[in-house]
Amino acid sequence: MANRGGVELRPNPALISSDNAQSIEPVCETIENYYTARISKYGVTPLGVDWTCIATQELRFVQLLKICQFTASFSLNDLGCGYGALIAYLSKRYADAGIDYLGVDLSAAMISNARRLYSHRTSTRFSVGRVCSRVADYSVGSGIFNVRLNQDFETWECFIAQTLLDMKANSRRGFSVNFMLPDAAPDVPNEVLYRTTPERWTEFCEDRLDCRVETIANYGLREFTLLARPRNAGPHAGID
Amino acid sequence: MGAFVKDSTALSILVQVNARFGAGDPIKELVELQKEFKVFSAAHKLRDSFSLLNIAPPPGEERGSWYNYLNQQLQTYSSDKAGVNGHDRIVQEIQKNLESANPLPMRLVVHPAKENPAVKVTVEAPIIFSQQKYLVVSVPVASRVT
Repeated sequence: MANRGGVELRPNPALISSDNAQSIEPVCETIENYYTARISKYGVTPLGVDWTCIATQELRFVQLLKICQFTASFSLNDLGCGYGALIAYLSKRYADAGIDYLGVDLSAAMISNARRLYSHRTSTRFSVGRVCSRVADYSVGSGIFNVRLNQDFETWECFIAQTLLDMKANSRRGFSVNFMLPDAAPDVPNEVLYRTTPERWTEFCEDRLDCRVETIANYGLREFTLLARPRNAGPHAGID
Repeated sequence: MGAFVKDSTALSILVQVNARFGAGDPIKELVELQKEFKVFSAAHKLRDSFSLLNIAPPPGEERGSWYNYLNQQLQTYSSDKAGVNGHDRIVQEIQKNLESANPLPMRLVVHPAKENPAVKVTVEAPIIFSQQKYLVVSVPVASRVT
């Protein structure tokens, strides 16, 4: 058995099942309510999507976008896009990159704000939902697995597994997500946040999703980023 | 600072700065942010750097006063380095520290403007029960005139 974040885990070989999508619907509803409340309280600011500040938010984007090859135009799904903060970052750092962007979020309030801010941009669309409605070259998801909101561990891991499965299915060349690392004080159980080690989801992406996985850590935040490339996407997909 | 924002705002800012620049994970985070974005440099006003880090009072009048203090008042202060104003001294020292081989955590403290009207920067162990050395930035303060 593994111990992650002070919680004893049972092995769960059946993380992916046909019942998953249905069983995680209540989870999605909880997430939607949580983030709708956040943006209602804090507006279109990093706090509105539960990040400390713009700088740390963008440091995460730096890592996640390492999945993308910026030498040619590409399509990008942004799962859990919030109010579209990634677009502001892409505009600053990659203004000339031809990126066909789709932002997806469970919260209609988030998408409403994202549309207000960015719908004038070309090749930029948003939709409300749990999964991306199209196949793109790449998909990214920032912080979408961190706040588990008292969901039991097994249910939350089912949600993660299903989401990763969907991201892989909707990404031709690769996808990237981030996770929080275990706390420095692991004896204190945290019922709100989900923390894990890289091995847990690296193995899942390699063995269950048939991806080559690169782990990025030590970038100043207590977390890691997984870059996953489908093996059938070719050996150099997304590597600059 | 005390003359330009409410007492509670000044206290809140001290807490925020000292938490974000604290020993361990916080200072490591700032080192990486500096490496990636050059948050502190001569190209950026302290107001913009702190805004990027969300070191500020909640939106409203006090936030405006805080930014005004950072942008304008601090530049009128002298510092313990000849020819360098208080604002630039802080920016330079934070940048130098974050880009050094062994960055130190930072403490923002205050001292009475009547005793010394200049911004001071030292390296010391300001926490009495700890040997941890910090970059200590001390800004002059006066009571708010009401």
